[in-house]
Amino acid sequence: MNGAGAREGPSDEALLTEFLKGRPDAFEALVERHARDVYHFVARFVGNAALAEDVVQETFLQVHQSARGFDRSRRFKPWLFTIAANKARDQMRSRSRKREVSVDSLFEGGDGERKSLLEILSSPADEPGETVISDEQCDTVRRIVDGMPEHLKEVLLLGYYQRMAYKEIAEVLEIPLGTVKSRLHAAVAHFAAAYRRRVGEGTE
Amino acid sequence: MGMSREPLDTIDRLLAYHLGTADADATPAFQAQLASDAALQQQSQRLRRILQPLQTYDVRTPPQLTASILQHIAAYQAAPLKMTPVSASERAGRSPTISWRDLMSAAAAVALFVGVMVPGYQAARRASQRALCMDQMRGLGAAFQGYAASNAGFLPYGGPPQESLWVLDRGATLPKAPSTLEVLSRSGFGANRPPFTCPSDVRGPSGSTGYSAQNFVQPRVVSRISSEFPIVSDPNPLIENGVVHPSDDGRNSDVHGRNAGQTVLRIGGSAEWQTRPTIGIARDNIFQINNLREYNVREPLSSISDAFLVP
Repeated sequence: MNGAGAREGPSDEALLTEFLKGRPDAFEALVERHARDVYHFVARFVGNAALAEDVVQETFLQVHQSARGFDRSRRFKPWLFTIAANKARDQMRSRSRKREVSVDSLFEGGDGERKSLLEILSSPADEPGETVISDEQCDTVRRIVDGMPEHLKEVLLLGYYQRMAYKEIAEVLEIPLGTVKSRLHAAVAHFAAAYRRRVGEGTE
Repeated sequence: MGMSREPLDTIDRLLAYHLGTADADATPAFQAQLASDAALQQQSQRLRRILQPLQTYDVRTPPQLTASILQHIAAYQAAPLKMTPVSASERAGRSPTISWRDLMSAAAAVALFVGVMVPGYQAARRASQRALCMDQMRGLGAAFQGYAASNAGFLPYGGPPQESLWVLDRGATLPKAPSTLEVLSRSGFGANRPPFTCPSDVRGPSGSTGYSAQNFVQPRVVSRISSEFPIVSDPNPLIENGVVHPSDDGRNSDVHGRNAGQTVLRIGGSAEWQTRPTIGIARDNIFQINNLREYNVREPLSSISDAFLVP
């Protein structure tokens, strides 16, 4: 789990203040504290380990360069992830990996059906089976997440893997709370449909 | 669409519960609801099984990640060239006069420096300005969403396009068109964001230029528009310094020189650098009204989905 959990020591914002007062070790502490989480988020976002390391380096470089302009009314972690998400999106586009996605294709239902999360959870026909973990299924999950539309993927990554609360996700992505919820519904529904279809294909 | 909000709120809480992000104060009450509601228990089981495979997507952290980040920052800080003056001892024994060879060497070095560094510097500057522009565009995207959230989902609406003299004959000076951005600005959204200018066009006057923006045929609700719909870009390639550029055929002209292209904001909040005008839903030409070869005056948009960005 990548969740933040309770931390000992000074807050992120206090460390940033110390860094701005001339203590480089405070910045190092911030990097030490958040590098792993940011890397995990970015690695799943761009789907490439080497690229992810570059993006994470650029993210912290921008934090270092922009620290003086940090809005003190915000919290550090959402700001950090906002920068990371922007860098990851830019990197994806610069590598021409962006997929044009129409609204109609947001749900992979196999037969073209579009089901909401509520419908999926309420329908016995969509009963997902217990998962037996195998390397092949790990790869399937990775491919589905990698192929998700960006606006759904980023919400899923922040919500599931980073364990961020809806409000925090809204702050990171600079979108309304209601949009976070609807996108998270869509992301989970998208994943459920795609996983069911791929696993179904594999067993037929 | 007629669906009650209550089941969706329950799914929100169920999702938060399974993601482990639920408010700690609210968890006991939800657990109690879960214990007494068989249907909810079934939904909970299904959601658990849906989410279960996601845990298999593991990521291995590079062993020296923190060190590589700090090295990258240190290398960036050391990047500006440090010109070391020639020491007195190095110059000892040399004639104070300058030979032709010295002069030619110096000239070659200067030429080499200019030839290598200046294009690199300009490219880096353009890249930096584009990045800044994209950041500002995303700020505008958030402002659009904020406006919609406070106005029953409606996007800022600048008035009927039939009254907008947004493009005249070539070479003509552009009058002011009612703009969604003006409405957005007046409403106070984005006031604490970067200014309503985008500096990605390095050739623009004083390094900053205004945006082009979508004027809708009628007020639109954000949730009913594709997230891919282009809504703002930095300058329209057909316009230069407020005058229609001769190459007004709807393609990216050479108005921006080697920087030909635009930063485009889509209503979903993403911003990107585009070198083609034919982007967005249905590969719409964002700088030309559909099926129109030449602009005159007062052309209405051809359809509700026509993404035509006006200066």
